Amino acid sequence: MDLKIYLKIFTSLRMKPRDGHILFKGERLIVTPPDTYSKLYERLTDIIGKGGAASALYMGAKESSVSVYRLMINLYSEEFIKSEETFAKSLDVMMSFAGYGKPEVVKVDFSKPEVIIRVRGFITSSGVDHSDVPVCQIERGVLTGVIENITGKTCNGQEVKCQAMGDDYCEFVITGSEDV
Amino acid sequence: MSFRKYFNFLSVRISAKNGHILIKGDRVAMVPTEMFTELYLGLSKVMGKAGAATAFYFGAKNSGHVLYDIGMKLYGEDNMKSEERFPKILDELLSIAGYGRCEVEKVDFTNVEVVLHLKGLLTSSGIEGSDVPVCHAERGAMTGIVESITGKQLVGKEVKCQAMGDDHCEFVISEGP
Repeated sequence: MDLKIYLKIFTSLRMKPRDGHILFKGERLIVTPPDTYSKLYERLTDIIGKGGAASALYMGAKESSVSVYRLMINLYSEEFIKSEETFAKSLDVMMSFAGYGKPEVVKVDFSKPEVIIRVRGFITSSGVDHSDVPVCQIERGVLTGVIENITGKTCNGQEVKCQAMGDDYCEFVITGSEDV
Repeated sequence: MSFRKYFNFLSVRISAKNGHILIKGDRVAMVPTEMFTELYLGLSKVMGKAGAATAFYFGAKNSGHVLYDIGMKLYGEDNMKSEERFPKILDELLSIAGYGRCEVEKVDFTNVEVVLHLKGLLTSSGIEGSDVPVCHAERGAMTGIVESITGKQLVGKEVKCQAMGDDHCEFVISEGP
């Protein structure tokens, strides 16, 4: 992360001791252990099975992604995020700032759309060992939702590799829904 | 508190190489509060309010254990477990995590009964006119903190909720049922 954007972030965070709130450019944030995600996934799996948990978290996270998209806009600008040339940087800065892990954008084509993102040390997979299925359902939903916000098109996201399954990284393939 | 002072107090370390944030060695993430609310509402649509409540409550209990670990590193185990100091420490701990302000109405770690009042919590801030309490992640986290202090498995209930029109959210944590 370059120093300029780091300083911009650092000086834009506000604590409101009276309310116990943390704000970044008006957006309220909380600090949470990543285990919250993995335990939520595990508990949902206990209740409704892996398939049900995957669908529920993916769909729920997709609906919640607008707040993460707003976070990206607050860090840069809408034009910067919507540019295929600078999208990777804006995603990297947002995820590093929020402590989500380090992304690598392997492919980005907003016109189709088709986006491939690899992440090491993502939130849910960090808390789950030896899974036989991908576990980063919330992250899959959020990333898919972010691409939907950028392109204005309905998308589907798939996690085709996951560190919880022993892969080197988690890999997400996000495409226009008609392609899936 | 300025963010510089806040970062120093928490010993925040940002690893640009890994994209991780560490507080006293424990990894944390910064999440928009609206995301929690929308995730709860999304899950409620898919599996019903009761199912979403159970998943969030039990899923968040562990994050309460991690918050306790962070609190222990910041304030010391004796202070965390002191009934006299617990109210001030919990208020500070929840404030620095951005949860909102907390008043401890009752604290008895022996029998165990802890009553907490919170205003402006994450989930209830984004929901109006609910017919049931909605702060299940927060209920789980509070219960997890008190579980770590007492070493007992506990039950947390939200008996008032701002999303239902109450003045504050009230949590009662005890040995159950």
